[in-house]
Amino acid sequence: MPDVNLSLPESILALFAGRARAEAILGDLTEMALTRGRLWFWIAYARTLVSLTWRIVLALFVADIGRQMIFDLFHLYIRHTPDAWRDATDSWLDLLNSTGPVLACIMSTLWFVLPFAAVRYGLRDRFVQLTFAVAVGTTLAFLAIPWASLACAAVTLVLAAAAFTSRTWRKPLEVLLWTGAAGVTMIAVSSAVRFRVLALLVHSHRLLAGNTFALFFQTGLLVLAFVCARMHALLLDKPSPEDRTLA
Amino acid sequence: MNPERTLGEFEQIVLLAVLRLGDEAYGVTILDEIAAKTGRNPAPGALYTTLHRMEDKGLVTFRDGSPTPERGGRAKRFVQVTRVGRNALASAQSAYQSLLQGLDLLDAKLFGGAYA
Repeated sequence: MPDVNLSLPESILALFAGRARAEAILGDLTEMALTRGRLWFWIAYARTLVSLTWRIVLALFVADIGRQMIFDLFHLYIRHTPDAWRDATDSWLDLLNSTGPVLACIMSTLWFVLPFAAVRYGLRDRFVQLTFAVAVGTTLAFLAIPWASLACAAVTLVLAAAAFTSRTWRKPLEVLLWTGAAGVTMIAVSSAVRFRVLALLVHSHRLLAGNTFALFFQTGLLVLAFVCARMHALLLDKPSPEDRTLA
Repeated sequence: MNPERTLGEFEQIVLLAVLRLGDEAYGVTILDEIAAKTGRNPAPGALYTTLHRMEDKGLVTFRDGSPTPERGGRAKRFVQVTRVGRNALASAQSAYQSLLQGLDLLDAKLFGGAYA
């Protein structure tokens, strides 16, 4: 394929595989195309690109669906909370109501990251397992069930503290903390844009305001997924020097 | 790093091909070796995702070669099996050997015998 400029296909590949890997892949495909032809090259390139990206695309899709589903269920639950529970947990509900936006940010982050990471890395990944425990514990704590929610909040905090002191679980916790910080920031910024800036446009340009917020929010989720993937790659995927010893 | 080193079937095939090729293992030669020894023609994308995953797990490592004209001036990335990768492969193969013992499966295939 000497007469074709492959810098753009290589750049697209590099977005998902990294520069060095993309260069090697394009080199291999170019070498094989010498005996198999140009059509084979482009089909092989397209299939390679799909192989490298389908899991990320699926993970993003599942994460967005998962986050929306949990929020729908959460709202359903809030509307049907027994009155007796409300009376018994008034102070807890007051606390939650006063921290409503923060709560929404934490919930959005956890229930977006959990399905994303589960599809991307599999259920055996320690980061996925830790995120699952924290997401379930936090959600139960937010449900304001008498005593059970307080117990869940305490257990989740103890779990996080135990993970911090554990050699095995500390790095997954670090990934979760970085991802959580990024998520809360992203979602808070997009919400702030919605409530503060776009409020000026709502009356005259309601559709534009809604779409702009959706764009901000979805972009925020993409950035969140990117931070999660980068931190996972940096802290958990990186082989130790001992692992790199040749056979 | 997660401690699990369980290998999938295709990971084992790729590691065995890399070990057979020695210093000449890179994308093109690995695909050729797999095709020659197993009769399969895996898609390049399947090989690269597997190699990248194994690199992330510390099972293989890479060293850069020199750029060549037939590759459009791009360098080869030679694959090398790490000690962890070799141990994982030995463990997986040992498990297969244990399960195969007493089954006469290979003999039956050699003689074309029908298996009830």
